[in-house]
Amino acid sequence: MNDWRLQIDDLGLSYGPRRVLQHLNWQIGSGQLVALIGPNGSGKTSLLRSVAGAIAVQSGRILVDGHAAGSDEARRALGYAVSVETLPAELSLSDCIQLLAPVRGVNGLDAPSEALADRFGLAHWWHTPVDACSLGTRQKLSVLLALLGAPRLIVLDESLNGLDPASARHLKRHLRERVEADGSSVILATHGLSATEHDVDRVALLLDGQIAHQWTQAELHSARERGESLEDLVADRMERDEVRP
Amino acid sequence: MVLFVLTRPHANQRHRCKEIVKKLQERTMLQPEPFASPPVCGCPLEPQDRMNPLWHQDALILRARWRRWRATPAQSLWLAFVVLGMAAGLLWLLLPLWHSPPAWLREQWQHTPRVGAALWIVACGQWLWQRQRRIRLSVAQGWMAAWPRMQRAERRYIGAQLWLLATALATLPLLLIWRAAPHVGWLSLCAVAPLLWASLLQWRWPLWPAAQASTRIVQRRVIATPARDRRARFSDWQRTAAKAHKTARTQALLALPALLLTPSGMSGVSMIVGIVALLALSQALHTHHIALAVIPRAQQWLEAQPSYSKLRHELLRYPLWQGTRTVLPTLLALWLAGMHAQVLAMLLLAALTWLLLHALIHFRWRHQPRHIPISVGVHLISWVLISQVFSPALVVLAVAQIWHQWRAE
Repeated sequence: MNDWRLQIDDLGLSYGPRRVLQHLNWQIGSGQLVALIGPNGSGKTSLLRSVAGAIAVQSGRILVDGHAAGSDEARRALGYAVSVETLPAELSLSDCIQLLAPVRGVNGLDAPSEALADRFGLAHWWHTPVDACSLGTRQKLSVLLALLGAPRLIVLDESLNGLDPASARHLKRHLRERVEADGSSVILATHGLSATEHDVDRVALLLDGQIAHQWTQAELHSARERGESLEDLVADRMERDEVRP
Repeated sequence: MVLFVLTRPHANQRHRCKEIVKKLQERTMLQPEPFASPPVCGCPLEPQDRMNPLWHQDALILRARWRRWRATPAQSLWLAFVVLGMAAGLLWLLLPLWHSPPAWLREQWQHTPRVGAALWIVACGQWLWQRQRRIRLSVAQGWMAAWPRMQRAERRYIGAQLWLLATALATLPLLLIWRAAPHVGWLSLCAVAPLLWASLLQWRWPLWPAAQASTRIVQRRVIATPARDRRARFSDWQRTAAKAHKTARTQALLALPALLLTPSGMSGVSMIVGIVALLALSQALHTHHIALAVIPRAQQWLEAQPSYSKLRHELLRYPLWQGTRTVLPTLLALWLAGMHAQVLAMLLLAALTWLLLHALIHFRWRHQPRHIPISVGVHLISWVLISQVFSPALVVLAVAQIWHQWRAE
């Protein structure tokens, strides 16, 4: 067994005749914070749901911390921030955490997550039903649920959407602290390139159902020195591959 | 470039902006109240200490609903009144049938019991299958999709749900046996069938969509039905609901009570016409319900648009028409039933109040979709009142309903 937090080999996924992912290979080591970017409809959410075990693997292999995605061991090792639309509308924020905590084998939020919730300003919303909360508050709840039980791989799908700048900054700091403290790994799917490029170790571009390119922080830094932003790099790459978003 | 120069803030202004942003960010971090989160504890819980998350969720939802009902006592009382009224009406209709079932039904059962038994067994299987499928879908597509330890929890939850439903379904044939109905053997089979279906579905466990830890290729249809708890709030629900009346299953389920409610001595042709009319009207009511669900969404969109008088008048027309459509046939029914003029005047006053109530409800649900059941309750009560006072007036209401349906679509 190697030390990959996430290992994807030759993954394929299709919705009927539409091929979303094909021959996708990707590895993420421990203690890495990786941004996953790609055009709309490129399959980011499908890929992350496959990793989380919410979509069955159709072809290929996904290993989370050495266990097949969807297995109980893999699910225990992984925290997935669900889409806010799927959160139970009638339950309050505290109900949601109260429900998931025993499943993850804890009694509640750990101290760092509690501090994050505090910084998120959730005190006023703690007993409010989910459907009465704003998008940003629901997004914060979804993130907190993903962090519950200190998972070794944290998967956040567009979790920065709807967050105010201060909360987004708190979240990114918190993720960095987790990565450095206990060697957790984080996948952060996002469209906010400029907001994340400084905070991640690596940026992976999903194009045509594959990880088309990855930039390390050093490469991004040298590109910035040349006067090129991540947006420029991605746009160039997409133009080269003739991809239309 | 010119635009950039014109809009580019001065260095001092940029500095000032940064200061404001920093202050705002600091302010958002201040917490006037202590954070009321669950207690921090790193100790893992033993599996036997944990409640099944699906049952736990049901319990928490019930608790949340109870809180919500208590927060709106008037609305809750109204809904309770409607539900109790409907239940009483149903009992009032069904109890006589229980004591003296329609002659044609008795004859049918006496001569061809195997047809009835086969229908019952198939219906039970379909019902149970749908039940477990719905739960599986809501878990696979909901927020619990990636949770650990869910496979066993879901299996147990579905098992319990299936056994509860199967037991309820087995009760009817057992009651018939108790009432000494003929063909006890067939009735026994009907009683056992749902339990057998439940066992089979639980044992077979045909698809576990998400949790199969497998590296081999699994060909599986991706299911796009929305989760159950989303249906009341999203347009997916409307699309799904709009197709519901077209399925043979729904129509069969509607036809069954329609057959049971048919008065004895009714001719075959009028019975068929009655059932068709009932199906058409149920479809109309269904479409009406969907139309109601569209209004809050339209309102959300319209609120962001510039308001103008014509639009405001158009928005008024709908509730007024809706109320009139309910009130006028009721009055006509009462008049045809030969009510005294004084009573009729009082009823007219009551009807106007009713109309006002209708408009108020309409304007309320426009902003709060949760109030839609009140409107449906109002309609159902109108239907029951009309059918009890002077049932031929239902034709008028039906025509109005069809016209309304056409407009809604």
